[in-house]
Amino acid sequence: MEDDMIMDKKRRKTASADFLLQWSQWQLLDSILPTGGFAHSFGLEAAIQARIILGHEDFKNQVIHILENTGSLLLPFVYSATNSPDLDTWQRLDRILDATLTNEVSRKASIAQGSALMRVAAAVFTEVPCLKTMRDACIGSGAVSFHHAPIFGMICGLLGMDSETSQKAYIFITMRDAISAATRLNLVGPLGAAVLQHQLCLVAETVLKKWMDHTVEEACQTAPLLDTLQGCHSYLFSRLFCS
Amino acid sequence: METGKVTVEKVDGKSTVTRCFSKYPLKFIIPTKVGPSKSDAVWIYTLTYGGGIVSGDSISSEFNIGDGCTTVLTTQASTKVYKSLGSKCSEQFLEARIGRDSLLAVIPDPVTCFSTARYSQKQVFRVLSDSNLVIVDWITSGRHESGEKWDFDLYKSTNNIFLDHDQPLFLDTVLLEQGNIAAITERMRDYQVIAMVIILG
Repeated sequence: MEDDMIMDKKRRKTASADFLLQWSQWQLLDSILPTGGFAHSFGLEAAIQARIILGHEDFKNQVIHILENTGSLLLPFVYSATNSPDLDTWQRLDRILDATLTNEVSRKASIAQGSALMRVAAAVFTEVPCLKTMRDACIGSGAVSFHHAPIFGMICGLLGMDSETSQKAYIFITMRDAISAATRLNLVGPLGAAVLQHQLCLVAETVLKKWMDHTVEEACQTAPLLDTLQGCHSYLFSRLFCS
Repeated sequence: METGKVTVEKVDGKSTVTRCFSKYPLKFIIPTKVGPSKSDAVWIYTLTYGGGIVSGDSISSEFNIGDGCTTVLTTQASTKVYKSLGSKCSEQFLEARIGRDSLLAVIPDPVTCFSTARYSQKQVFRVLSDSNLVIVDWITSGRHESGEKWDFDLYKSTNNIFLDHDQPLFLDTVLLEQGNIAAITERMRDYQVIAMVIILG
């Protein structure tokens, strides 16, 4: 009888932790979370001005390349951070990613988004106090650049997400933000954007299955043209986005 | 076992090759009259027997550039990578240590992979705070006159620069692989060559 009560209490505790995880997960993936993701176009604006994107088919292909490049270059960092969401791992991954993001535009974009995400997470997920303590320890010390992918992975890990979900989530927010940037760049209307996002689910899943669970030593770029284009963003005379 | 090893040191105030070793399929040619006589630089040409890299070849070389020396590493012609037999991958590995106030310029001709070729290269540079580097790493789409445009199976190129032995300064890997998500031609659009130039110091 007492065993039953302990089991019941345990089950209710895990159930309530599950509830909290689900609500937190949905909040983390909601575009309304103020992380400044809306300011970045993933090289789409530069591609339009360089006349690489001339129509809908080009645009769709460009999003596919963005997804694959995110998978090959950044998923390893999300994966490692989710599996060991601690200060030492975070600092090591951040240092490696800083040397890996050789494209200055995407490097700065990563730092801007990462800093914003860390700030929001430290304030919002108060049930994970180490987020605030780690942030306070690193801010201003120069030990960490606050790159986006490791921070995203670490937050997912600390909230209790498994690494497959966190990597899938990272691909999801990339797809979400790229398509959202496209609507603001007039490449596609809001309804068309929603249709495209759903059509790309299969591609996103293929990218995830291909690039998940790799080590950071295996991180690589698969779309060098995209990388070059994104790097040109700072040369654009008039621009809507930061990157 | 390395296929090649070269050491350059200052001897009587001039950059001099003090050690040079190479074995099949690699060969070094070090002509003495490449640059103007007033400039102090060692020019090293790397060649492969047969003019290209054959499926399954594995070439690794080590370079030590001593303090105050200048060395240029280049090729006689573009590096051709022949078709892969039995899905074998050919590879090249280069590791260079650059000393104080030295310059290493790696300025080869581009790599050209033939249809179905599989090729991987890795270049690791270990520098000190006052070392200098110029690296050019480039690839063409293939024998495009024959219609081979980005027709190879795999090309992977890694360039890593470490400061003071182990601090990562620059880590870059490009992977072009024929895959199920997007063909290489689609990713490269109408471009037939892509190059990366790194200037450090």
